[in-house]
Amino acid sequence: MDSMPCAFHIRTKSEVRKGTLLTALLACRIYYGPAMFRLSVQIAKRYYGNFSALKRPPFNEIFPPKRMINKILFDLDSRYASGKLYVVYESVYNNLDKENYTREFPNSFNASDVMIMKKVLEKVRHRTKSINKHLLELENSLLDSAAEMGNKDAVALLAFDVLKDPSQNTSEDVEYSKLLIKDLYKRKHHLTLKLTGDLAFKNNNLKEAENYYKQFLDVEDDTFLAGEVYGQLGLIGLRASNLADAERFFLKSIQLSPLKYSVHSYFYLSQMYMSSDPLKARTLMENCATQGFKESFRSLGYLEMNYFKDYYKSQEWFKLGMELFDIECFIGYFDCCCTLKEWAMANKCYKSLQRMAEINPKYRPLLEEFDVARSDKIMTSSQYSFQPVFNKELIGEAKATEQSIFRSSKWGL
Amino acid sequence: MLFAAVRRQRVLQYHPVLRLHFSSGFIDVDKFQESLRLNKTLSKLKDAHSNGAIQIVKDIYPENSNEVNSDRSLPMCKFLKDEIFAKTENELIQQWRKPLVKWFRLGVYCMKYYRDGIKNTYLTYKETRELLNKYERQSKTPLITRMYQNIEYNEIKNRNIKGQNKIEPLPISRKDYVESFRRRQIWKLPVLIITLVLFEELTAVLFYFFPKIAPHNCLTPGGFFKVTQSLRKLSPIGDTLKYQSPYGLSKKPLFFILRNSTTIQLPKWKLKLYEKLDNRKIPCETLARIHQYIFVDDWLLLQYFLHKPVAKISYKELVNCIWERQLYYLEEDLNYMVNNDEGRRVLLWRLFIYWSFRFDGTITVGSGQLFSEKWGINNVSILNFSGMKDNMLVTRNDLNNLDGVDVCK
Repeated sequence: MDSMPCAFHIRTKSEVRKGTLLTALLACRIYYGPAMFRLSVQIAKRYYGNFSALKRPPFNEIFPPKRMINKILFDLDSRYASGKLYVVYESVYNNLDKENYTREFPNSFNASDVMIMKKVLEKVRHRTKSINKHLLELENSLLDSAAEMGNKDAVALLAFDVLKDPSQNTSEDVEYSKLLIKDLYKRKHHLTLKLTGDLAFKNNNLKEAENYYKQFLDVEDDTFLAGEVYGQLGLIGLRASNLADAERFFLKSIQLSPLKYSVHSYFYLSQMYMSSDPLKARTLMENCATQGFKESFRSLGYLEMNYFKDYYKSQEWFKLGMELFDIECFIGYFDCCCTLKEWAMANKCYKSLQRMAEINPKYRPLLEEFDVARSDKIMTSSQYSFQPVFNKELIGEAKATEQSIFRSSKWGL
Repeated sequence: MLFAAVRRQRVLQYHPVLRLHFSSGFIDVDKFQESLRLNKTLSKLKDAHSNGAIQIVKDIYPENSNEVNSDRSLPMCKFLKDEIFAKTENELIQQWRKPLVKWFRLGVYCMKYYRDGIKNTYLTYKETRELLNKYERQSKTPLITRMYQNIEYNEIKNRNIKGQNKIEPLPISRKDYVESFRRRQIWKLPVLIITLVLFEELTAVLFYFFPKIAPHNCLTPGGFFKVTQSLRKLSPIGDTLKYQSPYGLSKKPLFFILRNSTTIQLPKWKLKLYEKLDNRKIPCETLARIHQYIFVDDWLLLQYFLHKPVAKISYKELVNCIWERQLYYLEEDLNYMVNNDEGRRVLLWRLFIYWSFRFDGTITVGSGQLFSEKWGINNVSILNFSGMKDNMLVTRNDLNNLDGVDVCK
């Protein structure tokens, strides 16, 4: 990666030097979306009092296993192995909280090596599906360093972070980010083209987004990132009702990207095949389910129940969906239980549905509809329960009439 | 979401949609008028038929000019034995030689028919190879499913984009579509060639007794009649008001349908093997393919009939359409019917009613639903349903009320 003169680092450098909580939170907001941001804010509030004095855990405790790092480095085609990078990681990590500290990398390191170090941590996040706030800070710090060293990808990422939410940044920053993006766009920088497309897509300028994505594909069309871009193009095709194109793009996307990065493409493709090729749709949807894609459990459950008529399998899918409190999964599970004549289970499921409707008012109309459509089944299921019957009258009556039972209630061996 | 077919199935289960069957016969004019009023598709088809926009023609000349009919892949409708005998009778040949000449000429006629049949079977195979390479082998999806998807995509686009009146046509013509399916007859050629070499003119006699060993386009009308009789007519699979997926069928009806299918015919040994091994996936998928094949064929024909100023269907194709959809009684000789005026009208009306029942209210005929939304995903309960109550069929007695004017040519 060739370096470029960049004044951007002045801002980022100062931020890092401050090491403020806000920077971490902002990064969290940008990278992980509002849900994660809220969670981070809650955590921050709890620890804010002694945050500055927070003692970081030793690096060797939080750093992922060497084997995983080596695998990722191999995927990223890194020049260095984990042994060499570990020392650098540790040194940056140990100096994260130090004020007036200038990060120093070995002389042989260039900007792209630093960016690779950042990408490694990013991939660890995706693979483990968990976020360690210390590693996240380290990742952000590395991103800043890469930008300072003139890595175009890092500069583009930081500039687009500013533009994504301009109200949170100063007008000076916004203007400067625009200037940088313009410059990178002129140079046909691949990530800039993709991120510009993403920004246009986010603002619902589908035509413009499509244009940028296609420019990106002119630059590179057989990489990981191209897979993501194909996925986005597929979405544009779906929105424009151009399903043939959408299908083509989604297929390309799942061909280029690994499953975990193209779950959406799998899902949409599966939806498209649902009525013409249910077998293929099921396979694709199962792939989504392996990644914990919430909507897939519901679809798989209904597909198994209504088309493949495999009620036991559909029950299992619905159960998974129910764990995520998907109300449609409760409905499907109830139907399955009724078909299989597992009335006690159906009754239990119905009661859970009622509890959900009590807690969340938006489910009430649905429950009313449900009650009307399945009144017979609800009636039947209500007669069954897992609870043992404890009816005193009934027991007393039985005592009076069937005394022999009590007389001979010993083993009498 | 655009594709909510699975969910719709669920809806169908809870809110059974009233589907209108046509009355059991059209002898009652009032009932017929009522059916026309309720079913716009039938009304459209009737209008097109009355206006002469739909024509049944004996031969399409030149054969390649038409993109709908593929006569070369279908058997003859009329055996010219009487014509050959009459012609020989009128010629100046010695009386004692006449029977010999008659039978010799008939033998030559048969040989020529088989020669053309073999040639056309090979040509059909060869010419559709490229098509399959393009659509089937690249996407690793059967052509039938590919076309089914294309139709669905085009119809959704048509529904979502306002102001777009006409549904985009498929990238291939009906002729190509049916030929790419009929090309499988090539596997019967080795047997045919060996039989011809061994038995020469006697092959015709052999094929008369064992018609199934001949490629489809080498069948004589007598042979075809035997084939139609040999298949046990399928009754509707279930209640047409209820959704029935191929996987929902129990073993017995599933294999019964596959054994008596007129479209995709799995070899008997394979069916027995699947039955023994209790394999359900392949038979169920085959049944789904049959359903899709019929749907795509119906769709292509309907588009042709409803949007062309003059739509022509050949005798051979008409017979084949009726046969594939099993819209006939076992005792009926379809070739005989197509060669007389009344019979042709009966066959055409059977198709009209069949289509009207299936497609009314769908985007295909200008309304708002997808086929899979109306009936559910691969709903095989309507696979061979004639559209009339108790699966009855139009007969000669109904014709007077069906159309006043004969437009068949």
